[in-house]
Amino acid sequence: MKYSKRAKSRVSIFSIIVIAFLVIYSISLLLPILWGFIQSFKTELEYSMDVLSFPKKWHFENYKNAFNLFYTQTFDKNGNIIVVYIEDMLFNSIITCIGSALVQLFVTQAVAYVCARYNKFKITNVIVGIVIVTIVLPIVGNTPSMITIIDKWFNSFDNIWFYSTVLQMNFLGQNFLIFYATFLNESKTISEAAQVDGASNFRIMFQIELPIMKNIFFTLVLLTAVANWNNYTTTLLYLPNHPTIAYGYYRFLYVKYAQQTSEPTIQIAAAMIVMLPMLAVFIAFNNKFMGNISMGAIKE
Amino acid sequence: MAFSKKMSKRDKKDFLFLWAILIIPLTQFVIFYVIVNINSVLMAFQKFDVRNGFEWYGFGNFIQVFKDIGSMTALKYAIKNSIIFYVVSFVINNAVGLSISYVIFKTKTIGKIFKVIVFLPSIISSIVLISLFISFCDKAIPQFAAKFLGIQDMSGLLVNVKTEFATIIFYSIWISFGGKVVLLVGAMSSVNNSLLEAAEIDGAGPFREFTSIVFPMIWPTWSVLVYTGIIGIFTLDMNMYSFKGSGARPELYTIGYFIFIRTTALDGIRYELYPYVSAMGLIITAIAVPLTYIVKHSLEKFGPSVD
Repeated sequence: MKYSKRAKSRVSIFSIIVIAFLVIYSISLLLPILWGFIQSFKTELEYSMDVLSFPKKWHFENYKNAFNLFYTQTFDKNGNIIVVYIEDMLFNSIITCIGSALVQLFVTQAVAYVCARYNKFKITNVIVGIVIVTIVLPIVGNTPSMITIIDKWFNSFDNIWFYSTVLQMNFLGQNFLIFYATFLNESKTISEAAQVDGASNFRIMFQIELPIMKNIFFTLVLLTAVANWNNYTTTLLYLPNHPTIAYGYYRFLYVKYAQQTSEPTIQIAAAMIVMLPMLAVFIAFNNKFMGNISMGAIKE
Repeated sequence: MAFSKKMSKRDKKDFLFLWAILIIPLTQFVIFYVIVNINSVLMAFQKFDVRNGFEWYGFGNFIQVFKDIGSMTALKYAIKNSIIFYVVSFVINNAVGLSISYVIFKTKTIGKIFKVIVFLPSIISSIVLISLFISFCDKAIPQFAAKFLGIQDMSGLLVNVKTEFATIIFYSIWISFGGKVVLLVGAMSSVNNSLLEAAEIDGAGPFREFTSIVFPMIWPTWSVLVYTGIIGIFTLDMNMYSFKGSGARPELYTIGYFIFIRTTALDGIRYELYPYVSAMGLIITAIAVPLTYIVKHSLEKFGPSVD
């Protein structure tokens, strides 16, 4: 009993230390963002003099200037320079991020469905095996080969539609396992009843099985789209002349054109503009992000 | 079960439906995974000529890679830095992360607010976070040190070459640490409470409980994270491209960064570099695959038993 009391007090002291660490860690994550937000309302002179205080006057025009100066230059197919403004980057982001997430997850879900429901055919076991092996198997340095094949075989390098559709029609990755496990655990009662009533396989899939998964599907689309939205390196590799918002911000920071600014406060304001859409999505759907998914259609 | 005359009408319908769904994704897989990787292997034995395209080059690229490992400063640093980063992040994420996760699990202190905050780096673009982090390290911290700690003339952490590398490592670990803790706490939550209660009744302390019950129970989850993370030695770039673009000093290179900057096509596709990158990728894969499986096998063989 004495030992147990000593053990409990050791846990308590350690707990206090850990909780203090977590509080400090959480503050440290928020600090650069909050600090940046406050600095974004300063003039360049005020910022250079003192970065620890609040602005003497809040310069909201920094955001207007950041919006107007947020552009980059790329090349079209004929090699002509074109200017890409924020609305073009927004369009690129929507297509490559949301569009490709929808395509990829629809295909993944469909393949997972047939593998779970039609596992009397051996090919389904092969597909599940392929997914598991490709998740674990580390392959490095095949991006040059991918770019070469896209360019030489399909003449579609830097093609936003090819990237968002054809390249996304794969079923590899952990999302397949999530759908697959869910379909395996889902009761077949409704679909068997529909089959008895004469419904076709397509009808069962699209009108019964897939709608049951809509919560999971929506959550995974959300997570995938957010990850795609924020990932600028993939755009840099495959779509260098179709900058997304994230990639556009990278070029705004590092590649300066004559009319653009080096003012740090406007650069920070631009960072806040880039951050805003995803923060809004997160606030609106934070339950989905934090894993609150309800499943199932059968009422017992 | 192949399509045969012995199949029932139902089975034939199911077979046709199955292939109607699978034909496009399987074709995509064959072209953009199987053929891409075969082509990557072939490319490693080729060189690119502007007039003739890809030509056979034998082992020339591999010889060049091994020569460069011995002579190229950037590559030597890349290998060294990649190993340093992996070891440091492994120790911190596991030694520190596991301990913190266990205490959170025991005391049930993790609230939704903490989960929301550690999720933020996944929501916000890395380039945005890094640009804010750079400004904070190079402006706010030196001014704070001067104003409140009396340390004058402190240069920014990312401007000072002595602190630059450590700061970048710190960022890479700091930004993902919380997410890993949440993951481990989630794994620990699946441990059966009755086991923990029985251990407490028998007088087991926290250390004994962790080593004899909790850690063995989360071992399958933890070991998957370990051996699938092996590839990170060769692919992670510590967000170097976001910090430095393509202009990082050789002393900051990692293997992932070295390969990445040779693959980008900002000024057009650089086919002349691709065979070299493919050869390097093949060498890395030849090391990473057996290493992953050795680690996986060792963890499975020598790890604690759930029983």
